[in-house]
Amino acid sequence: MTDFGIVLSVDLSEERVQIYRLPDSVIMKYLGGEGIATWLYWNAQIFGNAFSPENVLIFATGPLTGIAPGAGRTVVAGKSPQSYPEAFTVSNFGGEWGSELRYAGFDVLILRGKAKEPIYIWIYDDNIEIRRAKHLWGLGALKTREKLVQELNDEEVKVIAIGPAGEKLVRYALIIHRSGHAAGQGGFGAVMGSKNVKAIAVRGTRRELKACDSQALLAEMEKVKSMACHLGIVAPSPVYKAYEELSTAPLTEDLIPLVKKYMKRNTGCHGCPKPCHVYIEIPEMNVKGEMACVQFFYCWLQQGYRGYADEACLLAKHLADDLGLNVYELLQLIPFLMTLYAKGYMSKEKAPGIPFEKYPEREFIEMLLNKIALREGLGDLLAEGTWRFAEKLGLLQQYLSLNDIEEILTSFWGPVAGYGGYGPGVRGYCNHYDPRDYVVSALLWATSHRDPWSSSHEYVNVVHWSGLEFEKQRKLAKYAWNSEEAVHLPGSPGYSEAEVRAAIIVQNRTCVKNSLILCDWLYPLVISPDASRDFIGDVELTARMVNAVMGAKYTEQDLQLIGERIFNLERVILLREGVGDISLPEHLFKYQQRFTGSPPLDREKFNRLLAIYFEMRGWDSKGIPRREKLIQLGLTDVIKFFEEKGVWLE
Amino acid sequence: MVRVKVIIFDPSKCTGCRLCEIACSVKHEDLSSPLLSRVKILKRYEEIFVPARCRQCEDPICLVACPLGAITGDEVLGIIKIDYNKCRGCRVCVELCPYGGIYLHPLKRKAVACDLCGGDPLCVRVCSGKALSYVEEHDIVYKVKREDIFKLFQRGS
Repeated sequence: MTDFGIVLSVDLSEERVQIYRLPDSVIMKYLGGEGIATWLYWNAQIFGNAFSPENVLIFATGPLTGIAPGAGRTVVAGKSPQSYPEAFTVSNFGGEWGSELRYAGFDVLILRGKAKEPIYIWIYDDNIEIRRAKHLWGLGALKTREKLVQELNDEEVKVIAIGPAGEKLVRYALIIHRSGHAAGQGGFGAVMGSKNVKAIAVRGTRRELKACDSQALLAEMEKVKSMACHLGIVAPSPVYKAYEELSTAPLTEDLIPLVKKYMKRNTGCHGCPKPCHVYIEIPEMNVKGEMACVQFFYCWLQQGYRGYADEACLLAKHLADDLGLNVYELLQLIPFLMTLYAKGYMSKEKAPGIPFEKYPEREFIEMLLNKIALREGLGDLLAEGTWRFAEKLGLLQQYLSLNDIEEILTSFWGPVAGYGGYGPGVRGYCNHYDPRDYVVSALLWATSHRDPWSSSHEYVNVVHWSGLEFEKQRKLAKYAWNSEEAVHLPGSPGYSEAEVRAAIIVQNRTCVKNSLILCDWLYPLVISPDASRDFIGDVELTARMVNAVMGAKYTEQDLQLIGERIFNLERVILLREGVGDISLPEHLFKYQQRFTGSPPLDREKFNRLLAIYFEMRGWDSKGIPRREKLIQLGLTDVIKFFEEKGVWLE
Repeated sequence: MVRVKVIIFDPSKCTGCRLCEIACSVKHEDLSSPLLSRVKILKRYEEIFVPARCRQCEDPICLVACPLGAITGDEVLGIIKIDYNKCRGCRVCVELCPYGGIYLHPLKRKAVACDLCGGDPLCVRVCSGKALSYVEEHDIVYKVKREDIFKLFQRGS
């Protein structure tokens, strides 16, 4: 059996440490990562707000972390201050911290309570210390890592830390490990800050992780290396050249020269067979660090606004990392702020110190990020996140519904402006893989507890990134989601059962992936670069690898059932927290997507689709899991809870 | 003429992923731990990555220094062999090797070093950035360095 399941629980209020082992039955039902974190959160019964000492902050690795290829990630879970309203969610980050925690002897770390003063936690194998961190408080997150490496006198120490934004409880503050490896979404940096925890440093030399069938594991390792490709990019597409030349994704061609100029090499997470980050150094700007994907946010905004990007966009990422800000939120916040400025809602008098006229130059972003992280002036409101900011200004309707806002957003600030959106229910702008382009995206956005796409790329890999022609995509859809009808051309949704099934499979697989934990850009292997087999990948590989490590006998179907269990438990938690509303923002039903030209969603058809989704999920018409479904999934304590609360009234 | 194949390393291509460590450890021990890997990547943040590994020395100090004669040379592979009936874990080899290429096995308490997987090193096979390669010694010049050497002299022409 697996050696996974050792929990280190730290009560910060009492300065007490507890170590225990999760029962094998729980591991078999929830695997690890997101599954275990969800189960722990369900049992912890959090009813206070995100910043109350009662909230838990869970760091969960998976049974594959530190032993399988592309499994260097860690899940972070708890009640999220970024969600609107505050609710349970999960986030995750890559790098090497999770593996190191496992080598130190722990698979899950839970923080409870609140330290009396700023502290950091130092885990050196089974030696766990809570140390004062007054000297670190106020420092940037990257600087904190450097200080700790010096202080602990070990360059192999793996650190996660928060920046000033986390300390000041910015609702989208991140927890960062190495530069470029952050748990961004969810605002868990602020939760860590609310507990007065500046950093967690780990060095692990004590435990060897067991491979039950090492021959099989090594065979899969080489297979992954030969088959995996970032975001499924296998054929010429707008981002193909950057992928080929820089081994990173997804950059448009015009960014290649800028990145090349400062790039030293590719870097990746622990055990990655296909590293996706570029390591960049700009000595004159004091910029050093790894970058991938959304960390190019300011480059995209610059490109969208004035056609080209400059060094300031690399600096912007560095500042966001060091101050501890989630760039996904900035990607919708900045264009919204600029739209308010353009429309006269915002002026220099109302926002002293923010140089609007300098957008999108270096001065603007430097000043803005500092103001937000330190909650100075208007930064104090901006630190609440786009949704709460708009609400506090009385502009929520404008933000979401007015036609001209969307027009300004997309035509003026660029195609990615407004990406992001967060939390259960109606949740902001929701146009990361716009629901109007792909109706599967609409289903995912409507039913998820967070921005769904950051960890569910398997679908958009095929339809958005692969570069494959539509006929090939249909074959892949048949292979991965049981029907060729699961994919449609952007903007021409089929509103079909096949798309619902695809959405459900994707969600279930995502839960599994985040429980093992495997990298979303590589797994599941839906696509392979092998043209002779129509680019069809190997989705069963996940199960084989789990079995090789854990000595289990899971099939892909078994894993999907586990995924379904986790997804349903998450759903139940949202219902418990009173945020189980399933809906999409109004503008998606009213206006076409200005950039892609996709028509608005058809409300009637979409509602019918949701009804099919509920039926397939085994949920009632309000989206509450039925008794039979909960029995099938073995969620018996949930049944008890539902009965006590009188949830099933139909 | 002696023909030997050697593992060489290109620091600019290493991504610091340590998949070589995982693969080596799992292959030799059925366990994953950086401490059990025959190759260990040392890092200075994300700026410098270097591997500590057996350099396949021609006149290995570990072999010369072993007071018990536990270390011998494998002429065909060009690597050392350790006789576990003789090794008593005194760490003389560990202390003297300047490259961190030989170490004391944390569980078995005997000296351990790279065995080139018998001539098909797995670390090389899994290296995603092709930072590690296993080449004929003479090809270091004729193939690996070829383009770089051309570049050096292109400026003058």
